[in-house]
Amino acid sequence: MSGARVGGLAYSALLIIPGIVAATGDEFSYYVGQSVCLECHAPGGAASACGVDPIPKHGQSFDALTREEASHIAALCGVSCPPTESQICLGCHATAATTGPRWTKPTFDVNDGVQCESCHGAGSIHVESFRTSRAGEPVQSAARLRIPDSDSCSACHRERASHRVVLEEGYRRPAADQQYRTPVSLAISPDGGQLYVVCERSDSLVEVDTRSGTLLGEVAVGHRPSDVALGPDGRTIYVTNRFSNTLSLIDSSTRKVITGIPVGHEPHGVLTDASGDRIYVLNTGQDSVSVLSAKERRETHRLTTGPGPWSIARSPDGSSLYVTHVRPYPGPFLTPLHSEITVIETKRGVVAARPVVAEANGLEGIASVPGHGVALFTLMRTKNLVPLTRLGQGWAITNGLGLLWPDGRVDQVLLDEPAASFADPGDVAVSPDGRFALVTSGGGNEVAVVDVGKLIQFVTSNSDLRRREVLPNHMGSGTDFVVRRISVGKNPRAVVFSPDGRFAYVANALDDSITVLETGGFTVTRVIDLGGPSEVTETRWGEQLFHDARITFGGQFSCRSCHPDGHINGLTFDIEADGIGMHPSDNRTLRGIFDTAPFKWEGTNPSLERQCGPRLAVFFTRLAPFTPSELSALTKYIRTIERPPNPYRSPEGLTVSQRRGQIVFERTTTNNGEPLPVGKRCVTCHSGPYATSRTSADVGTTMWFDVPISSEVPDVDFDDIEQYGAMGLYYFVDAGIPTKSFDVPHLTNIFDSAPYLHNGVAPTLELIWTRFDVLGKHGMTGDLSRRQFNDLIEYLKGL
Amino acid sequence: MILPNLKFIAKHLPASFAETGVLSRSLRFRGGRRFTRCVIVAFCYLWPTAFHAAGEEETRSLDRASSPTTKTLTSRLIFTQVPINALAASSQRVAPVDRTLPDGSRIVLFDPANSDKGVINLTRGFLAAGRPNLSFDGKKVLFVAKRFPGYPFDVWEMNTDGSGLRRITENVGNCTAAIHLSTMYTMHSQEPVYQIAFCSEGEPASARAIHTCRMDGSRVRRITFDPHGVHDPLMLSDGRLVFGGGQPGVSADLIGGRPSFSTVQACGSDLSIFAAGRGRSLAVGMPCETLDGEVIYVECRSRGWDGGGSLVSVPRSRSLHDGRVLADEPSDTYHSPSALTDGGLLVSYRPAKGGTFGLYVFDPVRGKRTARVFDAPDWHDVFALAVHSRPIPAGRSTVVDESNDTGLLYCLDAYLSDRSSRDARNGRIDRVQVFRTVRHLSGEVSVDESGVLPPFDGYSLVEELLGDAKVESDGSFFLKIPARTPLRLQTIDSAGQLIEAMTSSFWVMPNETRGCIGCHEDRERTPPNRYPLALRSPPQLVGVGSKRSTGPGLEPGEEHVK
Repeated sequence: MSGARVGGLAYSALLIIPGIVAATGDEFSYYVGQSVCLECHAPGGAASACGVDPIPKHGQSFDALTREEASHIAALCGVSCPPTESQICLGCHATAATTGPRWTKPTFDVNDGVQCESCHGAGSIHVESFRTSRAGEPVQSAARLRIPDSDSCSACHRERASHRVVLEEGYRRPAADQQYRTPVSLAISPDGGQLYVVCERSDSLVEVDTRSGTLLGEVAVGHRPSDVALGPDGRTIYVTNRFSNTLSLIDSSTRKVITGIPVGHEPHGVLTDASGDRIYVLNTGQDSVSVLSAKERRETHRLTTGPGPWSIARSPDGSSLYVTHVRPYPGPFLTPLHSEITVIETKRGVVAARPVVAEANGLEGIASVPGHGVALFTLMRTKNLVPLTRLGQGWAITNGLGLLWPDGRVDQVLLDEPAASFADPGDVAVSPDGRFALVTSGGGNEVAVVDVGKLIQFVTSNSDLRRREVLPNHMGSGTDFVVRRISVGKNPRAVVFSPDGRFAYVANALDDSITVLETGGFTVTRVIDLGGPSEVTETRWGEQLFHDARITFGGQFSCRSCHPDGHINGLTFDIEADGIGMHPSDNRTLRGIFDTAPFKWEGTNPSLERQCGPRLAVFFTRLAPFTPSELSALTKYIRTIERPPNPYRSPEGLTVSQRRGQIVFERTTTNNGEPLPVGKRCVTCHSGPYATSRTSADVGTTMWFDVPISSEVPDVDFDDIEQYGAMGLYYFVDAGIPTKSFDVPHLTNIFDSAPYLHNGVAPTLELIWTRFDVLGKHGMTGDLSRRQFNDLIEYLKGL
Repeated sequence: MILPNLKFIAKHLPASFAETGVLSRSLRFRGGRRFTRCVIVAFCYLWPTAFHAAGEEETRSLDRASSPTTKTLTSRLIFTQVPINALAASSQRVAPVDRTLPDGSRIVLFDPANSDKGVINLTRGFLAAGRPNLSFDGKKVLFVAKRFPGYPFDVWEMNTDGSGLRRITENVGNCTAAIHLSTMYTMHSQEPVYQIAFCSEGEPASARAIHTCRMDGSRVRRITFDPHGVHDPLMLSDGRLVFGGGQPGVSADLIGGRPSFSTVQACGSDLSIFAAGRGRSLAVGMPCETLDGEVIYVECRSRGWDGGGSLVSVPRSRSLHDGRVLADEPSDTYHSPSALTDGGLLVSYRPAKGGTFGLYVFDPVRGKRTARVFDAPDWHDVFALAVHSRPIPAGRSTVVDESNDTGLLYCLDAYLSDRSSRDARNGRIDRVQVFRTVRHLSGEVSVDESGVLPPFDGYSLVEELLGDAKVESDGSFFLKIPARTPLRLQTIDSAGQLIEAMTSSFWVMPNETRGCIGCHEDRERTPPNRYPLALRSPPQLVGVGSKRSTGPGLEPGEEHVK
């Protein structure tokens, strides 16, 4: 469809006929398919034909997704499923992608590609109306179809970097990229003879003979497996499949998958209770724990956790389970963060306590210490409220260990030294005798050996005040209990002791190897190759750079520190470039963003290369910038960071509530039937499969913080939290200072990108409008009923 | 009459002249004395290079008698030789560099594998030369040298065999030491800038400072502003520049008041304390870094021309703690350690009973000298380096903008201090005063028998109150202050009574935003994760612009002499 021809159709945006159905109606229009449309609208038919010449490519667009190039494009779009199943791809290459198959009639065929209803909307009511109406009778408004304009075309017909790179520049993702192992989790058999290695990239579980170091076998599991646990007898192996939302049960003797059990969204950690009767699976994408019956092999109930449950450990007596969380609670705006350890009572399978870990985030690995009644867990202390103006003295991020005592008390100590950080602590294991703990530094490619006795002595010898205020913030104290640091492979993410405590195994995620440590002297005795490609592709190199803290001064943090799994850590930052104290900037996900340029909330970076270029070095890493080849590798990796499946998005399509929300989202009139100005429509800015126009827009969210630092702005009572939330707007406008435009964010998987708005002021989607749309410039929501608003939110979550 | 002319010529002709020829330049001079001047010019610029080329064999014969006693080293060594007879004549009032590198000092090359050949003088043609510094690839040597009496020490560069000689700095005062720097970047370019850093004593009233410049001597920028002066820069592997400083010859309880090492980034920003002299140390200097991250330096407890003393080691990762004295002979004198590739050290040492400095291999683990490498009886053999490549330190991206003349300073919580409890001071801090420190010549100079200047000899520090600013109830403040200026802060209560005072100076670089955690907090303390009240308003201007706030205590412009 040519833009010129379509432009002729855009005769009046204000006269666009109301959308698919009335906003308040429960009668939905279904997609009928072009064969039905052509019954009347074919050339020479009873009704007028389409004003736009039939475009063969529209009909072939679905087929394009089956071509070899499509998989390479999809890889650059963060698509983790086949292109023919991806809502992102189908959004432009097919019709009814957004609504899903539930909302199509049998006459509809997705293989027909971009059909009439792609532009005109679902047509079943229209068809039925005309079929049943008598000649000369008016047709009800809901039967009328959407009249597209040029903007409708541009939602898809726009520059897409992913397509350009593949179709014009000839990029093909190397086969090796799909063949790496990426070991991320370990478990060892009760006799210590077999080591089970979860390989995230190859979607498999590898079994290693610990005595010979040879690979005994490999079992295909679900998509993006993340954790492994053994039943008490070692006969059953449990593997969580993060992108499949399942738990694989494997018979250790036959190395066969027995079954896959559906669990919650993005299952990560897994563990059984001491008896093996219950299996606990952490749904990190859904902030919950699925409790399963091992006997019945089904989920019996679900527990609520904090944000991003990650790892789980059992107390030595088996009475409790401890759950860490990779993200902190979204507290009040610009207040210190805190995280939670969820304590589960195994006898009843319920949450028993939620100890708070103050000012810490990134709680990942956890292990109980036999004989001491304490559990150790890894943590980060991110100084997100402090301007990011230097890195010395632990200015940006510090890394350490937490101690959870039986009474719920939590202590924190740092593993950093002033000029030698211990970036991205990801896992911890404790020797069977409780003497030593090993902690991995994913960013530093090291393992720290902690003398647990000295650690406990060190902590308990301090006063309560020092334990609360000094130890969590004091670098160098680690020299009192860290015996040594051992260099291992790239990006160590998991560690486990052998049952007899003589050996420890470290999974080096990004060089596909296992480092074997002899624990007598904590020396490296062997490195086991897991059989990944020997070739390091550019993308793989970029992945290594992404996870390497040596890119920052003092090795303080890596890209991954703020973007775990390429996503967010849920925090806002005060970055020097735009003036300190002002412009708090919400951290944004890196998943599937290649086609969403420009970048930054100001929308000033047209490419990832610029985003990660010299400015990043000046204001973030404070070291030399990436070399051109490093930058190329890094950005290539970022392009491929995958987006997990959306739990609010059923394979069948939108729910009824979401469908109603979609109608609100796409509406062109108010509830009163008044035309909705183009600038007030959601789809004006949030169009296309990514739901972004990739432009900037002023939606009235400029706040007190966003003014130039030298401006004379009225003082604000910051102690008045209620006033503070919205006040930024009131005060700002009262000062008569022009408001600013910000980048229109994409909305894919927006449900898990809290907090929201450019400064992260909105902890939930709802608050964007109920609290921070004071000026009424962020679309039009004032006329919506409560149900309509809730439907809209439900729809957004499913994008 | 010749000397002034030489100075004039040296000042006005480019440094590259020694390499690019003489005759064309000599045509500039007119009049009846043209020929003489041409000869002078040619002599002046060719002397070092010409004599160097011809002097190797002669030098070998001169030092053949100085045979080493061990062949444990395989790398060639480059070091400074200071003639012992020249030291006696330098006990008058001279620039410090002239005391440590008196006339006749030279840089020599010694090959342990061919020890019978003695040393090769690499700097023949210079009146005095010393302080070699190797490039990271081990191929180039920076050093300081002067050619004529009364001339300043400039920074020169040569290959490790003495060829490729060229002058880098010119008219930047007496250069006392020079080092290679890692790469520097700005936000506008991915292309690295290659620089060196050098210590220079400029005008008499100014303190010795570290400057940086490009490899061709251009773009000279001063990056330290300590009014007491700084010395002995070292590029650490993590990209920081460490240097000695602090109040010379003064022992104090406070870090800022005693000899100490500080670090800056290679752009001069992010000034931080690195390590402090212990107990009664008079000076610390001559640091080196081993491959395993230990920083070894010399701690001087008695006055002497050489600054020698004990060897002290601190881990770079935790330099303010865990220091240990390496040598078990505290009465002996160590000098200018440098790192060897096998974990050992190359040090200069002379026993307490006297004698000259010789070169030794030192085992830092056992705290023992393990082998004597070289010792010439008529020379002090110091500042030795083994010729080998070493890893390039981390590069740096800088926010410094030379077009700006201000920087920002914010403090998160002035109540955080290791000197007194927070409870005792809670709520008392009302304002922060900002003083500018000015160094003044005080006229009379007293020199002790060793020729070393006592503390504050020849200068005094005068402070001017630039202004003061409000401290918020949470202890935070946010200032815009002049850049490139030695400043000092003190907090006062509402009655103007002093609560806390810095004992040392700090500075900000142009466009730098410098953050402090507290006032004399434990330097291993990390910042509390709080959004400070002070950052919710624009910075208060102190000493910049027209706005100058006042409060209790001294009025702006009022001075007091420290």
